[in-house]
Amino acid sequence: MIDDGNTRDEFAPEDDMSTDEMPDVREDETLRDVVAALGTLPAVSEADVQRIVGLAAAEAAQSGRRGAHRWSAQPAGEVVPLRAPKPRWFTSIPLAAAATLVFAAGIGGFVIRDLTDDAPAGARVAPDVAVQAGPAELTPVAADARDEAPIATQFVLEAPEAARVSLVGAFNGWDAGATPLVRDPATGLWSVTLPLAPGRHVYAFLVNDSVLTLDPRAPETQDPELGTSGSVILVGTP
Amino acid sequence: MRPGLLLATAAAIVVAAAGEAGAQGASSADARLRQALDAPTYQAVSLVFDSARARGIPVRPLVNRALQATLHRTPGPRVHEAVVKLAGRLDVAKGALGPGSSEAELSAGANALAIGVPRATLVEIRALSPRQPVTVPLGVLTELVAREVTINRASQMVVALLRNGVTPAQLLSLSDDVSHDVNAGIEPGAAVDIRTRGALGTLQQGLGDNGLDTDARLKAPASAPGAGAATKVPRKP
Repeated sequence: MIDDGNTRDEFAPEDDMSTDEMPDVREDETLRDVVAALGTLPAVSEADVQRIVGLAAAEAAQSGRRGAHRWSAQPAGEVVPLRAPKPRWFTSIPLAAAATLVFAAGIGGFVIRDLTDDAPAGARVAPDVAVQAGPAELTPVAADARDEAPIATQFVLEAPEAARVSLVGAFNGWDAGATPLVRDPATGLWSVTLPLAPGRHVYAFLVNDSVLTLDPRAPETQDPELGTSGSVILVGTP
Repeated sequence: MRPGLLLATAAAIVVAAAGEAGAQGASSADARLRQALDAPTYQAVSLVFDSARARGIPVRPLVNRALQATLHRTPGPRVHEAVVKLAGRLDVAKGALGPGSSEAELSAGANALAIGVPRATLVEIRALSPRQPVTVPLGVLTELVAREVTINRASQMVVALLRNGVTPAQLLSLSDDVSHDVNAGIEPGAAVDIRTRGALGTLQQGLGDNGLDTDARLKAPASAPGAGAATKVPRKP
């Protein structure tokens, strides 16, 4: 390659300071003193770094400054500053109100689930993830809600002579009026579909508001404590 | 009206409506109980409810138990006894499954205890599914025992499958297969063994050799029909 005198080293930084402009430590008295002072300091061990980090963290916690730096010692002993993110959750009223609405809906659902007999048993709150205070730690605190989500389940009874049929079980508080079956005129079959939580459910049909009838299509279970029997269904994701 | 204020108002209405609906449901169940039970029994079961509530036990399963009994026209003292026994089982289930367990899990645990499943099995199942609901595994276990599978064998099956990563859907399918086998005349224990081996084989194919606990495999008795052969069992025509 021909050097025309204008060719610049493409790897050199553009604002590179020439060696002529750099101060010489040996000639600069202040720098010489600083370097000499640094040379007298003892060597720093990893334990010292950890101790200093701990003291800094304790001081920061005591000062309680919002947005203060937190420090985390890496396994190799390297110290890396972590800037705590500024809280941005409620910077505007609409956002705060929307969050409140979501929270209220969650609380409302919980209240209904907990207190209402008609709510499907076992309905679970939405999955939740708690963010702990430590750096980059996520701790799941609840299972996947899909595993507990209610599943549409159909019940069918052949009772051509019946005037009324209803379904009773713990899922509707054994309430005779809660889940009536509908008769299909074409087939004469009574049926109802309702959401049930995954798991084992004991149930029965109540015919004409007076006769408890087992489901001939389902297994039967005995209840020695009450001296009764019931039909059983195991509900789960197909 | 500002959007934020509008949304906040809507949130307040949602909370109020939820509280109202919950209160109505609870009072409806209470009114039904008061109407169906004689006064001494109603007072007795109410005390059980209060005691359970104080201990952090879900009350709804107890109320449902009393309502179930009244629907079957069970005599008052027997209603009270059934509610007391269920409260005790819920207590044990909570201790075994952990205080964070859902109401459905505690009910499933109480039902399993009622049929004779030991507390230690509940503890083991929870340990194998610390972050997943155990409602289905406990329901399957209860149903297997109800189908006359011995408690030990049913527990071994559920535990072994959970240890190998079985899904709730697979467990339900397996329980269904065992029920069909038993209805077809196969001895319940043999049906459980052969179905478990088949399921473990399927899980092994799905997972490869990683993460499988081969020690958990159940050994079928030599007399088991079809032992060591295909997993399909003849069924009733």
